[in-house]
Amino acid sequence: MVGLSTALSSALSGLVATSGQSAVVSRNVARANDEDYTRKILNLTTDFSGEARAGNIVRAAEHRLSETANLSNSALAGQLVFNQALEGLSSTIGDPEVDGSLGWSINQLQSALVEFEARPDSMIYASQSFAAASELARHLNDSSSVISNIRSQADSDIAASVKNVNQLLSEIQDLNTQITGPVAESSTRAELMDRRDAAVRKLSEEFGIRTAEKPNNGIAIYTQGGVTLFDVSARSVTFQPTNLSSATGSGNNVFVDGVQVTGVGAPMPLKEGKITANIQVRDKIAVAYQRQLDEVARVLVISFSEQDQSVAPSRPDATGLFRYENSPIVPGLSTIHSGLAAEIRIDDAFDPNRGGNPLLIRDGGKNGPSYVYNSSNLSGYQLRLNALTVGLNGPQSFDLTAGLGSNLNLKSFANSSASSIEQLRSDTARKLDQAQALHQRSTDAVSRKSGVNIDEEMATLLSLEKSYQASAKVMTSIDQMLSTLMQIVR
Amino acid sequence: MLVERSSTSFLQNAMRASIRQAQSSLHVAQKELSTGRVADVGLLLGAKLGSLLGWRQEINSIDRQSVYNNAAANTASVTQATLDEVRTQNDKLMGSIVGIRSAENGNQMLATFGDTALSNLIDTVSVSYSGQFLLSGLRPDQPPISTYSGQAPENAFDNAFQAEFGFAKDSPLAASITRPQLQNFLDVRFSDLFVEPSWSANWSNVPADNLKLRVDRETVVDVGANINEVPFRQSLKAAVAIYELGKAGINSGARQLLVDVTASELASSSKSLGEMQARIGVGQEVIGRATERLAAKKTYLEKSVTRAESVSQFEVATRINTLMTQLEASYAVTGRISNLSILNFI
Repeated sequence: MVGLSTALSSALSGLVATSGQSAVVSRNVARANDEDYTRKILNLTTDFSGEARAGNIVRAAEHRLSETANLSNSALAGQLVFNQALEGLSSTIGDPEVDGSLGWSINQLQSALVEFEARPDSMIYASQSFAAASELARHLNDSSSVISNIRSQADSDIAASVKNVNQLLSEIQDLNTQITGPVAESSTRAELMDRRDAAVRKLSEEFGIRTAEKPNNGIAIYTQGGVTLFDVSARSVTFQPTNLSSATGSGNNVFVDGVQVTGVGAPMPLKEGKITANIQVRDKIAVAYQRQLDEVARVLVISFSEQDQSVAPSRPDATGLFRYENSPIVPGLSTIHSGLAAEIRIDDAFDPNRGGNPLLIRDGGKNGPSYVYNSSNLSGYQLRLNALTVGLNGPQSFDLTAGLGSNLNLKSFANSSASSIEQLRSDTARKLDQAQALHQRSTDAVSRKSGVNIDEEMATLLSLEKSYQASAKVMTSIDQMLSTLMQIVR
Repeated sequence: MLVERSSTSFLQNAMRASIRQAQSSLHVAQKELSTGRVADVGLLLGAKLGSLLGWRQEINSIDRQSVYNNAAANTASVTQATLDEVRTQNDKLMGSIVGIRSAENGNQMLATFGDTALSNLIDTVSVSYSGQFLLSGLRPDQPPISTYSGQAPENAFDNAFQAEFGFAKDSPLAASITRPQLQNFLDVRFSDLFVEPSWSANWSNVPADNLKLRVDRETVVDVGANINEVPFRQSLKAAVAIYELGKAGINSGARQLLVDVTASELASSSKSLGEMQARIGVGQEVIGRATERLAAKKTYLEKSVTRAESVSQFEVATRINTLMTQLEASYAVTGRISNLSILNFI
């Protein structure tokens, strides 16, 4: 008798265990396409009486794999930011066929000046030179505004990222508290851990992070540089959006728990990820390009400035065709004047649409009679135009901190500047390809390990079905045996 | 053999990624095939893009410079033709006056020839080409010399005549002028009319310098003729002398001297004009050579540009074929794999 009832309760526990396993299988299948979902396994345990019991739900996750995936996620997110920024900068150069580069505009001005030099009496050629100069100034202004847009975009992206980081960290803190706390259900815990992993993955887009497993399924999160972001409680990440009015000044930095983690002098800097990339774009790449444009603008202002033509010159040089905020003071030699490319304009005195006279390019004298080159008022005066052409073709002293060397002529400098941007862009595109490949591989590895294979689950379900049928069969057999026994007794 | 586990979403993603990649490559190849150029030149060339930009700019400069050089060559040809014309007029005038050296009504004929020659000459040297007076040096917007009758040059002559002989040029006393007197007048007071300061004050105030033409980056040529140059003054001198003195009615002895003196002026003018033409001819050759050099450079630059950014159509066509095959295979495999499910068998 005792034997039969033991068998019955064993079969019953088999049924319960199998239905528990089927529940796990059906949950796996239902969420096979959810990337945040980790495949669950229900372990069976045997209790003291030797009966099968549904044990803990285990996640098929591997810390090492997801760690690699997170790192590749950071790298990819960063490269995407770089790529986008460089594509923006490269738009100021355009396809060589479209002839939209800065060097092209300089070249147009030079050709116009050569033609004007041959026909110095012609208003048409004077206006053509004027038009080419306006185009060049506008090109510099437009490019500068593209750059400053990219910089402010980067700055607001950083602000958005920091906000996102703080949200994610507080979410992780909530989840972590629930996970390590006294949770009844192991299945609930597994779900919470899935959600926590998803939050960590999102966090890894912002910058490179490392996680450490702690007792009770808890985790701690550090930046790749080693600053603690989360350990039991979330640290606060702070960033003050920058007012980027100055064209080339650095923006504000990001702090974790009061420790500076970006920019010059950060002891444990962030690596990879969106925030790092945006900081680089905002303070390095865009700034370097802006400085090169500023140098082009400065050399233009100087090249077209007017000298005192008196017998005994006593007046300082003064800006001519091209003007800027400090006009008529000529900017200093070999030193970048920040933001000049954004400010450079054509002086109204040369603009026929504003009552000016483009023939001043030939004659000089924008700054008063002492600055008149064409003192005998010759309609065929060529010397000034000739000097301008020779000057623009000659080597200029550029500020070395613009990063393109010093003794180039203006056009080569502009073309080198285009080269430096395209070089960066093509490097970035290559790194992006690599990052994408790496990311693909590492997420594949995670997916293969932790993802759901429906076929596999179905096969499991088949075997569960069989054991359910078997257990049920056992129960009906025992039932028959018992009823047989009852009939005998009656 | 180690059989690795694989998840359903991995299987689907792997296919999706490869299809996406092939499609984007196909898009690029399509663009390259239709334009014959690399789809993203900057991306391909990177740091070398600056050189390509430089080449393209250089080609544009050369195109503009060539148009400009053609204009310069035309200007030079027109100048040459003008000089030819002045020389022809010199020779014609010389032939005419030598024939009437001792003729009866020589004075009247001299006056007529002189009048024609003077107006022709002023007309010829006031040549303009595309809005520029070619002989006006650095004042191309104004005619090189003043017209004669009733203008400063005639007044200046009248004054000189009056000062020399003590009577006006239309006085009948002119017939009394002797050879030595005329010689003296022609040598001093009359000649002075064609040198400074009288020249600038009465005839022409254009500067003696010519417009220079930049025919390539380093070469500047001067293919101009300037009204200030001696042969023009000599021709003018001859024409004015014949016209005015013929009209004044000098005696035949003085007339012979006049004819001799003017004939030698004209001869010397023609000779100097020939030298000027030779100089301009050299300049024309410089322009021609510069233009050829630019054309050769352009050919070379265009080759460099083509090498840098063009794609081989065959290569792209082959690439497209490969990509399409690959895509078709991916589609087929994706279709088969998604059909492959245990659910179809249980």
